[in-house]
Amino acid sequence: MALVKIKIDGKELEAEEGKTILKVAQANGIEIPTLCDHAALLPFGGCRLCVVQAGPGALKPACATPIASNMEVVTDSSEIREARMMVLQLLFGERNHYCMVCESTGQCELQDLGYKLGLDHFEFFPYEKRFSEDVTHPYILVDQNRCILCRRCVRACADVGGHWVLGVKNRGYESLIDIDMDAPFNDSSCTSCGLCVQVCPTGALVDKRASYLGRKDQADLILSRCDRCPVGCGLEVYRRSNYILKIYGDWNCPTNGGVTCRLSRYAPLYDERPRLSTPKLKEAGVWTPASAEKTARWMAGKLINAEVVVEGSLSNEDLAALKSLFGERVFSLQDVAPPLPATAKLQDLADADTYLVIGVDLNREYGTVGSLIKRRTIPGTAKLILVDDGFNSLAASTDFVFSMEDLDSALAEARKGRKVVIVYSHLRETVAEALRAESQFLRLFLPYESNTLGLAQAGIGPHIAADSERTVFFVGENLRDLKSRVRGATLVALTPFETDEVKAADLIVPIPAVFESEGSFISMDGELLRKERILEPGEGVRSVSAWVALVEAQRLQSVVAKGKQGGSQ
Amino acid sequence: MERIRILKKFEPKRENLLLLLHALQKNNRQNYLMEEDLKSAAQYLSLPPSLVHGAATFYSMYSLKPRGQYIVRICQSPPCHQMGSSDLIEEASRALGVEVGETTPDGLFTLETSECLGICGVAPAMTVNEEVHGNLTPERVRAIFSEKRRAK
Ligand code: SF4
Ligand code: SF4
Ligand code: SF4
Ligand code: FES
Repeated sequence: MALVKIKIDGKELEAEEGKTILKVAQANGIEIPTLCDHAALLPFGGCRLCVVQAGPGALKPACATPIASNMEVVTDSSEIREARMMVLQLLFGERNHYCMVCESTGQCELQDLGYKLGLDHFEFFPYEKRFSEDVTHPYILVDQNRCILCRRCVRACADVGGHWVLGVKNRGYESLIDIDMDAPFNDSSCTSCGLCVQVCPTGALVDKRASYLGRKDQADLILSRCDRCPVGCGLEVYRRSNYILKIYGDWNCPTNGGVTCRLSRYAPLYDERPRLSTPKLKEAGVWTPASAEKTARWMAGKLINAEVVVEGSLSNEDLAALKSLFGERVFSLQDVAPPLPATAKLQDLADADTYLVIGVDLNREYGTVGSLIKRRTIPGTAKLILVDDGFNSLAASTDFVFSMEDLDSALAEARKGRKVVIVYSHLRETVAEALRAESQFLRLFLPYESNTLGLAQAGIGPHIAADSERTVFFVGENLRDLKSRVRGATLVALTPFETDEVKAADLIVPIPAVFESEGSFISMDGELLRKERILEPGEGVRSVSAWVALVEAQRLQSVVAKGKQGGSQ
Repeated sequence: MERIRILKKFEPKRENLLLLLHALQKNNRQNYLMEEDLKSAAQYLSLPPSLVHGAATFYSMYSLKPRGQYIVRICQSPPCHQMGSSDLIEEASRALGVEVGETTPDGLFTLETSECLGICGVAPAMTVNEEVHGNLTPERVRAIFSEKRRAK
């Protein structure tokens, strides 16, 4: 775009034609107050707090007015200040903005503006009509009485998240945030991605979990990566002492650009499974706590011919440690290899015109992939074709739904596209065969777990269930059916949770839960990503690598001891 | 199904939403949009439900509650107000035995108010379904209601 000259507050500037006044001002360090505007969203121009004088005539919203050649902009004058103050007065007067009883006090953009622009009294009689709250959602609280109708949530849910759950109902004074068709939040099509909460400038949408636990600016901000699935979204984690206040998507992360899903933002914070805090050994049928040393010695004594079976969420560092102990006898609980080799990366989703999704509910798993697709298919920019036999919530977002039986029709539909991406995880052999023939389609393989590709690179293959006399170690967060995988063997489970399932083992050993360990993993795009440690685990909990080191030390000791015995004889 | 037949009269383009909602509402014996109407419109036009519901609640010509066979809308914009439309509203309310926004128990009339009908030259004015009546007096209003009752 052509560069044009403009003046803002007397300062001569050059900027790209078509950029908004606000963007140009921000780029040049000139501050203009905003409220409905959000860097990650398209301009909306609803609140009128950002009004400036730009040429003759009425004041214009800086966030929604493009610059033009020789435009002269004034961002501050008594007229402008008055206009902004009127907006603030109306906003504060209309609903419940008694800040001292609001969860968002101290981190509210409306309140901040009140201070900044010098609001020192209420011009209008405040808060005459009371609207409803919706408390039905497991994670999110909606208080319409604190909503300023900036529609950031609506725009984020639709344009960024691709979910189109939120809207606005009624009009004028009675306008309210609409959830589907007036549905209770809990019965709506909401995927709990949390974007709406992340962008809401007021206390109208809040994370229930974070309520009254502290403000963002009292917390440490840690940038990390989500390892709940192989997308590996960038996260902003807010930590206060040793708990997590809230988790936001990282707007600046190239992988997800701020989008995340329930699995990263909420599920781990609501994991109610009992934690295992100390190793426990089953002795004569009774679970007895064991010291770290005893545990390590016990494990060291079982290493001969032992094997270890891991979940695909283990970090590369933990895998390397296990390989040093078990050599080639490290196996994966799940499949590792893709049913069809991948040929596409996440960025291929950005300009495809057809997506053929096979057997994955992207609202529930790989949520960010779902967002990247739905935000193009729901407005009709691209076509979503779904092939699935069971319930799949994506079916509500497309007219092209086929059963596996009818794969041929789905393929025929897909062939009409120019750039087609097949999105899949597990596939039946026959389906994989049929897809293999369509070599003109790009293939985006969704690995089964966050570090499935790391396992594959380390040469770790799937474990074959069998009867065994050996000791089998299991490592993971979701261990179940251990006995059915190996009968007759001695079982050790390294796990963060003391569930009934892991009690099938003979020894259970505590390892960190999701936020208590750092480490690297290989994302679906093949990138080496790093997850940070956010919380300190409890005292008895050790990382897999730390347990391996203890076991190594015990083994060495016993070798040395044996050596000494041999020498003295 | 009836609903599908109505939908099919329109091209499935989003700009047809308002027309389509009108057609669905008109087809309803109680002059309102049922949840199923909104859902099927959303599906037919491939629009998110919240958007369709938002439009249906924004425009006052749509109702999401059952209404009477005749929708009486009395203009309350300034010109009609000047010419005495508040008396008309009172009279209509008395004659029908309902408040504004309500429907008579026999399901015949719903009383509503409206913003400018664009016929200020004949203020005060009202509409009864698609019919327009101007230069009204309380007596005329009563007479119109009686006509409708007889026509039933
Ligand atoms: S949590 Fe996500 S899907 Fe649910 S309403 Fe908010 S933005 Fe939309
Ligand atoms: S809920 Fe929050 S983000 Fe949504 S319109 Fe209201 S104030 Fe804005
Ligand atoms: S899509 Fe995957 S990586 Fe992104 S937030 Fe959800 S679980 Fe985490
Ligand atoms: S920030 Fe510009 S109108 Fe709201």
